[in-house]
Amino acid sequence: MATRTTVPFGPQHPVLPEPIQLKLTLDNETVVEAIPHIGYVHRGVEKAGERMDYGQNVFLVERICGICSFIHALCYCQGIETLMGIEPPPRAKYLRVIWSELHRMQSHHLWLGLLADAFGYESLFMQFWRNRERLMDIFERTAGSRVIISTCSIGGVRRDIDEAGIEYILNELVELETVLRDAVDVVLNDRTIRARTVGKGVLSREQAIALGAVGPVLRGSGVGVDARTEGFAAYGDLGIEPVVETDGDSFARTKVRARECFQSLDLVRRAIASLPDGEIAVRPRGRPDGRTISRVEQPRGELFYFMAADGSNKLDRLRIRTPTFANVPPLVAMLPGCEMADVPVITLSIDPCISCTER
Amino acid sequence: MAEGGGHAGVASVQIPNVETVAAEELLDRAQVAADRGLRFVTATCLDGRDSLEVYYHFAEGDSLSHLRVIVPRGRSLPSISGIYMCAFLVENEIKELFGLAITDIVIDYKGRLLLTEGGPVTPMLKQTVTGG
Repeated sequence: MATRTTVPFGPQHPVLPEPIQLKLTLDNETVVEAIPHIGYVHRGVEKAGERMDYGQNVFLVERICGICSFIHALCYCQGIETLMGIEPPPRAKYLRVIWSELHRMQSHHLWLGLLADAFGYESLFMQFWRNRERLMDIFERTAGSRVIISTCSIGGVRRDIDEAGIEYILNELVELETVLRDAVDVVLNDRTIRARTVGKGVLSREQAIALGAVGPVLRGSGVGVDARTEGFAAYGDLGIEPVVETDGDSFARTKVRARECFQSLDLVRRAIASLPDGEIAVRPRGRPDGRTISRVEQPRGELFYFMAADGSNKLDRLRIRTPTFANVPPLVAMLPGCEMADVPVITLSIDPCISCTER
Repeated sequence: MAEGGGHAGVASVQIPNVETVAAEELLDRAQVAADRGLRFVTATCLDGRDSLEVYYHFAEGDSLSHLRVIVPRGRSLPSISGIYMCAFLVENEIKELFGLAITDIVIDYKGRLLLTEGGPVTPMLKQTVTGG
C-alpha cells in the first residue's frame, strides 16, 4: 500500500528566490494535494497607503515590487487621476507605455533566465540576464535609476526622454533583439526543456477562468484577456492583440512570455515612432472624493487597485490585488497528479512574485 | 460640493456596475456569476465603522461587475470559496485583517495566513479614539 507523505516545499528552495511554502501531500512520488502558505514577509502596504498622502503613495506602491515598480505606480496614478478628474498629456501616456513595456521585457528576461537556471542551463541563464542588463542600462540612462525608476507621477510623468535618449533606446533594442531571438530559440526548441515543460502543470481554459488566473497563466490556457486591450495610457492608440497559447501547460506559459518580449519590442518602437510633442504632466488638483478601480497589465498579469477617497488628503482605503495573488489558486490546481520532481518548474511557470503577493 | 464631501470642485467618482445584495443572497448571486462563466477577480473589504462593506469583483472578458454586501459588526458572511475556490486566499485575508467572520472557507488558515501569534489583531480596522 502506498504511503502518503507531507513534504514542505519552501519557503527556502533553490528555484524560489522569495518565500512561499507549498505543503505537498505525496502518494509515493505523485502530488495529491498542495496547500500554499504565505505571510512570511507581509509588509502591510495597504494600511500604509491609508496613512500617506496621495503623492507619497506613489513612492510607496513603487516599492511593492522591484521588477515591475513602474507599473504599480502607473496603476495607482491612473486611479488617482480618475478620482481627481485629470487627464495626463498625450506625451506622458506614450512615455508610460515605453517604460511599462521596457519593464515587461526585463521581467520576462529575468524569468526566462530563472527558468534556464532551474534546468541547470547556466550559460543560457547568463545570456538572458546579460541581455536584461541592456534594459537596466536604458532605465539608468532615461530615469537615473536601474530598479525603482520613479518616473510616473499623478498627472503624467516626472521625466522626459530626449532625442539622444530615444536614439540610445532604439540602438540598444537592436542588439537586444538579436540576442533574444537566439536565446528564445533555445528555450522553445531544446529537447530537455520541452521534456520538462510540455504537458506539465496543465491548466485547462475552464479551470483558468474558474480559478481566477491572470496574465500569461490565463493566456497560456487559451483565454485572450489582457488589460492593455482596454486602452489605458497610449495602448488604445497603439493597438494590441493579446498573446495566446492554447495548451495550458508550462511550455505554453513559457511561449506566451517569450512572444510577449517581441510584442513589447514592437510596442516600444511604435510608441517612439508616434511619440507626440508637448507637456509631460498636468498638476494634480483637489482632494478627491469617491471610489474607483484601476487595472493595468503587469508582466505577471492583471494588477488591480481599488481606491476609496473621502475628500481628505489621504485615501480611506487602498486595496491592491497583485497577479501572483491571483495565480496561487491555479497553481494549487496544477500540481495534483504531477511528479514531485516537476513541482519546482511548474511553480516557476506561474512566474511567482512573492514580493507583490506580500504587499 | 459633490455628494459625499468632494472638495475643490472635484466630482465624486463612483464605480459602475455595482449591485448591493443582502448577505443571505450572496451565495446564490455568486453561483449565478459562476454559471455565467464570470472570472472572480478579488474581494475588497472596507471598514465602515459600524459595519464592514465587502465588494466581490467579477470579470467577463475585460469588463467588471461587482456585488456589494454590507455586514453589520458582529455578523458573519458565508464563504463563496465553495463556488469560486480561488476566493479562499482573499477571504482568509479579510477574516484576519478585518476580523470579519467568514464561514466555511474551503481552506481556512484560522487566522494564521498572514498574522502570527502575538501579532496585531485586525490591523486593517480603523483606529477609534475612545474615552475622555
